[in-house]
Amino acid sequence: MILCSSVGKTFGQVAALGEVSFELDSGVVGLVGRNGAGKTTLMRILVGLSRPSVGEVKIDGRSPTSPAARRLVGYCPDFDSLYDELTGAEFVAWMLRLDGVGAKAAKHRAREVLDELGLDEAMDRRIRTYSKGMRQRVRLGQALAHRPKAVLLDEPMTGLDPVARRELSDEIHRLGQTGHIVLVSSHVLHELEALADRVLLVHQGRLIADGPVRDLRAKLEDRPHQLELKSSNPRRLAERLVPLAVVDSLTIDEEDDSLRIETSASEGLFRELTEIGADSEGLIEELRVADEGLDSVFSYLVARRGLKA
Amino acid sequence: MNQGPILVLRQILEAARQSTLRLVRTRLFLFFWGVAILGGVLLYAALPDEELSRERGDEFTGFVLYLLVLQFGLPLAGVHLAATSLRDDIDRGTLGIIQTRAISRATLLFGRFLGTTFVVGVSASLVLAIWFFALQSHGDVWRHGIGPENKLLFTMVKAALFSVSSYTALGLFFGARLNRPIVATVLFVAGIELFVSNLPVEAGLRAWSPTDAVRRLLQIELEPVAGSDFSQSLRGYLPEDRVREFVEPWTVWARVTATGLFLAVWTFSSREYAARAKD
Repeated sequence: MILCSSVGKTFGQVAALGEVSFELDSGVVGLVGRNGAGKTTLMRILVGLSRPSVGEVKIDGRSPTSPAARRLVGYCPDFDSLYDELTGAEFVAWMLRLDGVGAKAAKHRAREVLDELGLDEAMDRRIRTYSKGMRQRVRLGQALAHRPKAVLLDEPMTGLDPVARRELSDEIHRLGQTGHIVLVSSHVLHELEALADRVLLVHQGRLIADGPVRDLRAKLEDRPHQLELKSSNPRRLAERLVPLAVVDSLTIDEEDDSLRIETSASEGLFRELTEIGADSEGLIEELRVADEGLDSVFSYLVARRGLKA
Repeated sequence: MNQGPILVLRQILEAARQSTLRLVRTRLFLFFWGVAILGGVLLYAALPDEELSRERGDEFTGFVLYLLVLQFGLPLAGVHLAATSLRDDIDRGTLGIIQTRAISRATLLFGRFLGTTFVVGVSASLVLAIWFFALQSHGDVWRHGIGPENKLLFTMVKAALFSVSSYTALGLFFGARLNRPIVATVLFVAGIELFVSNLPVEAGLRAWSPTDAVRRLLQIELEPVAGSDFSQSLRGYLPEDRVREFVEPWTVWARVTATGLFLAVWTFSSREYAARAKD
């Protein structure tokens, strides 16, 4: 439904985005990159707020600036931008009425969507009295109010407390499960790990990876992995591991009764550890992959491509 | 939902309604009219009764209303409030949400134009009416006890409603194009409204000044007494006998309003406004 073909954007001499291509058809997709990577520029192009310097974006075959395409997309920007003098319900209704929805229907739908987002008691209060989390929900409400097929959320977790983050995550999950396309951007990688079915990694305006999180990991088997082992006798375990060719380096933490191992052949190491575990009961009490998070995947990809992190 | 003319009309009216409500709630227009009313009160208080008694009611009232409302208040309020109605959304970042709604930029801008024109036009008319009736109620003060006639008020209101759309169209262009529209507003009033409207006719620029059109309209319809302050303020440097030779007021209105609106729509549609992070 959303087609992004070789989209690039320059501001004067600065290339903010370079030839990015992807398609979005369903599910929750994470747009990951550090601050200044080009995420917001890409989002703004997708919703028609900015024009690409090269390439094109199509929403169901239409230009993203056309009113017809905008009915299909909801956008929640990363900046706090509301009319503080209105109530939450009024603001969402005003946005709906700009779409051409009648007054009564807009009012009803605004209340319905804010109720779903947990603002049932606060929706008739002025926005200036809202907390950050409530303001975020109003922004999300206006993005969802016209029942779009795709929802684009730019850094939606910014400034939210843990409870509000959890509620927003649940809402994003729900949207993904009800057939929406949800594109969520973040520079905090672990936020998206549990949320997204697919991840687009952007660095310095370039798309450096695109795929399901598990596929990305599979492709990265050759990268060095760090494992953390808890042991009743870490010195004895270290004696067993040091001679193995699959172990690149090993560090013992006596205080914590643990070992940290770096390996470039994780599958081989796992086989060896299984054997050690079977031979000597209790020698390996716990095994944890220390760098399974998206953060490390991202850092590895950036380094492998010879890009500046 | 179809994209037909009914939908576009509904969106224009909604954008106008929202613009009107926001302007009324900010009460910014009260500032301009407050200054105009205060200026008039001070002027009236400064003149002793014996001096007032040498004036005809319609001459003095016409002069005060023209100078405070039509010459200064209306251009300042019209241009600045229209510019602010756009600039405020740009600065707050709300434009980043509004522009993602299913409304074209031209439709949104035209709605803002109608809303601002309505607020400034109605408030200017109210100020004119308040002043007119205040001065009319002192009928016995004027020369021969003759206060201002109702025709004066109707013509003044007509001139205000006629010229306000030119100012708001230009104001929307300033708001869409400039980061500090207040500077452009002041430059416009000082440069176009005061300077250009007093240039010699041969310069060929006066037809771009809405004030010049207002003056001609008032001269044609009110025919002020030659030599009075009111007549002098309407003529500027024009020779008395050539007033009717100049460009028709409605031609000036159409030219300035259409040009202002075209520039505003073109700028607003083609420009990318940066997102403002406030989190």
